Amino acid sequence: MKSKRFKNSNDLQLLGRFFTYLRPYSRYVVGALMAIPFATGATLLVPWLIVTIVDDYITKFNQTGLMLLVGFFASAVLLGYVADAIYTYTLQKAGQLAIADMRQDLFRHSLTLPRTYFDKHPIGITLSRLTSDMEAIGESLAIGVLSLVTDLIKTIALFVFLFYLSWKLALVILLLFPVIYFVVSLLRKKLRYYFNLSRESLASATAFLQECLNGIKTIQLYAAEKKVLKQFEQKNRKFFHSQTRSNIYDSTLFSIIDGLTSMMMVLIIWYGTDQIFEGAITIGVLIGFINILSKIFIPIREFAQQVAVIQRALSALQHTNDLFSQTSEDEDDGDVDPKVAIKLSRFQELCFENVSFKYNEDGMTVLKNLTFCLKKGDRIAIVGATGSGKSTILKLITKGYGNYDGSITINGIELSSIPKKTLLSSISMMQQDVYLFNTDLAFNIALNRPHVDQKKVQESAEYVYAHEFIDQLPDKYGYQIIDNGKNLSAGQAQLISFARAIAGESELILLDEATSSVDSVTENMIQKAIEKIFQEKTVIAIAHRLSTIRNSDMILVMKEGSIIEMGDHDSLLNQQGYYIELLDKMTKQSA
Amino acid sequence: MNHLRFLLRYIRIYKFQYFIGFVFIILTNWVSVSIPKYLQLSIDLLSESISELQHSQDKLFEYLGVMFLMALSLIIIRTLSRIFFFNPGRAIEYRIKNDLFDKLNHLKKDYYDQNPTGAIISRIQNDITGVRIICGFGMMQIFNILSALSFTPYKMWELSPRLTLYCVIPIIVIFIFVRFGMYYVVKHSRKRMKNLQDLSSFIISALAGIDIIKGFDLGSWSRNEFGAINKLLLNMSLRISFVRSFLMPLLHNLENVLKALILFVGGMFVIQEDFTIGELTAFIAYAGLLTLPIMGLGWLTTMIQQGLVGLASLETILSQKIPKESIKELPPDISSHLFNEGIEVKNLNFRHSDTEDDILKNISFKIKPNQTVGILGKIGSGKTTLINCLNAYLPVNDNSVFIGGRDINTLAFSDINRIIRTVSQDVFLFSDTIENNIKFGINDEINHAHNPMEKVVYESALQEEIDRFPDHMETIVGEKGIMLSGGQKQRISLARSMMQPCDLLILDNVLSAVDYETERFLLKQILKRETAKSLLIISHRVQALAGADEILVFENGTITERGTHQQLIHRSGLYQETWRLQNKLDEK
Repeated sequence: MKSKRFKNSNDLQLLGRFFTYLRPYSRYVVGALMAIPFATGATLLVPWLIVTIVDDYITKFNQTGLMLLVGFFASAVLLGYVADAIYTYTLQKAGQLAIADMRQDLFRHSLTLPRTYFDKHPIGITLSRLTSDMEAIGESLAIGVLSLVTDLIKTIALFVFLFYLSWKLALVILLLFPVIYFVVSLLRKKLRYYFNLSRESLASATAFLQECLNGIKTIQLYAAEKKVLKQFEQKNRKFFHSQTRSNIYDSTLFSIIDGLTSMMMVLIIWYGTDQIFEGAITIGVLIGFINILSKIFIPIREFAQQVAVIQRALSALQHTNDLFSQTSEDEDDGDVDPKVAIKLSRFQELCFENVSFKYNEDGMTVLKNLTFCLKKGDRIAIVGATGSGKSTILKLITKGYGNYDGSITINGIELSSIPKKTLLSSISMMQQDVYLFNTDLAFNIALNRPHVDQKKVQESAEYVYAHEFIDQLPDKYGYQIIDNGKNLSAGQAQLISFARAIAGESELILLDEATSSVDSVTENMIQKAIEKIFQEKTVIAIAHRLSTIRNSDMILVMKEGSIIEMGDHDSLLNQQGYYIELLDKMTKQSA
Repeated sequence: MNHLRFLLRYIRIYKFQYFIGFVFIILTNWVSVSIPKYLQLSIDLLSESISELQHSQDKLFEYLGVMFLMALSLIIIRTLSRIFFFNPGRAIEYRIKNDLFDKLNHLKKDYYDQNPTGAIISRIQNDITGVRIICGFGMMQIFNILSALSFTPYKMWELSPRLTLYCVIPIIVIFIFVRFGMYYVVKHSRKRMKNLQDLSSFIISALAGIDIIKGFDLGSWSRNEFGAINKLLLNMSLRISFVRSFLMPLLHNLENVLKALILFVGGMFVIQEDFTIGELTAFIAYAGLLTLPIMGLGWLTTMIQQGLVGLASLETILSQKIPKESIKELPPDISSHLFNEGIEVKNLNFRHSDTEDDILKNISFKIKPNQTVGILGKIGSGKTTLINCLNAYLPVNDNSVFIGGRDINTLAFSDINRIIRTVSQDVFLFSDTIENNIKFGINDEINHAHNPMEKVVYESALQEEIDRFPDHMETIVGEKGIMLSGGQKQRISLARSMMQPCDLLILDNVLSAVDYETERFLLKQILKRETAKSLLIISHRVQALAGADEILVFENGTITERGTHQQLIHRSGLYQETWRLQNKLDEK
């Protein structure tokens, strides 16, 4: 898929993306287009038949002809109905199919976006691209564009027909168009203003309601019920006022179009009288004109409404385009040099050499000139104050971010030349924020990895002392997780993420030790698991617990992005430097 | 019907506006059906021979003039009829929303446990739309359709009873078809909404776990799961489209069907000279007038059905009983001295529901003015539940908790919450400025006096951060502003609690996310007791509890140990164990 930059994309370019998705279903579109002439033909046939029936049969007392022509009329109505239905359905079908494909692609694309994208965009934004924006496109195409196109064709055809019947009378109608256009656009401007105002005020009132419900406990504990009600009433009133204003303009618009149709009818008859005197038109033509009038003006009213719907769809398309044009991570390659793959299959060493890094081009340097090496069986602990760059190191190793200066190698191969997929299959990450899927517990440990079977799941759980509590859950390994682990304690969730990492059987484990408070007994269990992992695996850990720190072969002491001290626990203590100060801050108990 | 009675309460407020709307709607319909009459007269004049027509030209212009004036006045009265129905609809929406908001603010934990906020909000939004439509558009349509469907057929009947009867047949047949189609569409739209919700929650789950999905190569798994839901959604959309495309347009064609019928039967009448051309034209015009209200009738029943469902669900919120609503606040001179005797918990038992085991068993202790009590315990041992019993967030049995000798169940919530201030573990901040979040702690109704902001900011160790933030005190926090760390949130919530003095300050594990140095500083500020006379501190850290007059150790909902720090560390048990574990980290 081409993903070009859309800086000032115009409407046609926007539609371009949609049309590429529509192409596979072009047979439906062709089918729909073929129905249009029939639908239009029927629309024209109906008023023409009325004119003919009145002029040639009724006024001339031709009974048998009348029967025949009314039969003809009925067939025309039936034809129009069927053609309309086919047109609408096939086009909607094509549109819905295209949207489903587009949604699927957009979802696939979102999954390939780099960490930097998710740092900047809350999930809610991406969610609305995939749901409400897609709905808007679907709706406007299903309702807006569809009827816009046919209404336009039919209105033009009707006008042509009116000119054919009597160009003078048709001209009278045409003269009134600018007046109608002026009135409609004036009202629409007002309506749009109040529409936007009420949307904003409704959004702000709803957001406030949501916030208050989320914070209901705080509100009640501070006895602030009246205070927040006053605030809500204010926002709610703003919505109410803009709604009443827009009701006034909306009602006026509705009535004016209706009224104008009737006034037009009077004008037509008044002018038509002269025409009949002159013998230029027949009474049937006049009746035909009166019948067509309502068909011409009603679409104008709807056209104004559809423009708003289409506008919404275009902005939704713009949003989806923006998301599509976000560059994804390297991915897709799949083919790894087999030599590289073999070289990577057994972890030997991980080396940082003069690595510097900043998140943004013009941002501040987060890591400065890091150099260290981790060999098989080594345990490295990284310590430092918040913001010293500890977690950035782990993010670089897992290729969460690229663009570093210097070199990071695994078994002598530069990180940038290893595909992310290959890399991640040889590393296990134990994160601080545990993410759990809303399915059963076993899936959350196995994560669909082919080599992790039921047995392996249990072994891994036992390895990290998680089996004990899992065994006491209602469905054991079939226990259903809800809301990202709301029904487990924080400590239990940690242990599951440990089991998940262990099940991967990779030699190198990255550990981000949790700081969140759990009770001392659960903490003890977590510590036991960590100690075991430390004994048997190669580990690089962001450490917060003294025991973890002391168990490592090497400690990297970070400050403002640099490693300022390095060594094991005892040698660092002897240095009497920043390490001691840091330990003091982290662990000192008594005042 | 009970629901309607409920709605009637609101409708009655606007009866005057509705009445004006009613008058205008009758006028609108009367004028609308009168126009074709003049159309008929004009056409009949025109169909006469030209010589006769020249005589009656003045008459023709008179008819045309009347029609023109009618059309003009129709614009005005129709506009007014809509405004006088729509605006009360909006006003009722406004009132119901405020009432809902007020009600929701007073409902307690047991309600919110059963009703997730997301569900409440989407319910309110959908349901209120239904109710508003009943009160606005629906009310108008009822009168509009009633009058249109009585005026128009009456006029048609006047012209030709036989022809009118012929017209009834297609109307009924088509109406039945379309009603069925509407029923189908509404039913399946609801299913489709459900599919869309499933899709949304899967997307949220997948994007929140994006790192795991990438790290464990779950891309194809999640694409398949997504694809399956997407497919369901597509199929439902197509089914709805099908009915919409084939069944609904029947109504739009009703007018044409009627025209065919009128042209045929009416045409025969004209040929037999029972009917004039003008009457035929008028009859066709009436048929056009008839289709709109019939279409409206189809939607009206659906609309009212849906509105009533919405109404019923809103009523379940509005009819919730607010606990202790009848209890009056105490006069200020009594409530301000209530804490002089402290708070006492006597044999408190608590369980959430009858099916569950007791979470708190036989808890007894006292906090006197100027005392500090500490609580230590494992997760799930009942500490937070205890706090929620003290501050009346959870309902307790009678004779379990007393403030100043009065049973807490006899005191109004506002009285309790002005004596007891709780800083809870789960910090909630509004997405507003830091200043407004801290000022939330000021309750003007109780007391206009409050501590100076600078002092509070300093004492809650926020000064340094606030200096660093882009807009200082004006910095917006939360989703629309900067993201705060857990420790920063805790300190803002602490600052909020220090804006106004109270009698008992409860700190539920509030200092867990700050480092030891900051913890010491904060404890020092709190222990100055400028904000609160008495303190109840819950913590996992022994350091925070060491200075308390009494420490309670919670295990499985009971107090297993109690005493001072010195007493407890010399007694084997959870306290001692925790103290040792935490001290082990301290040895170097």
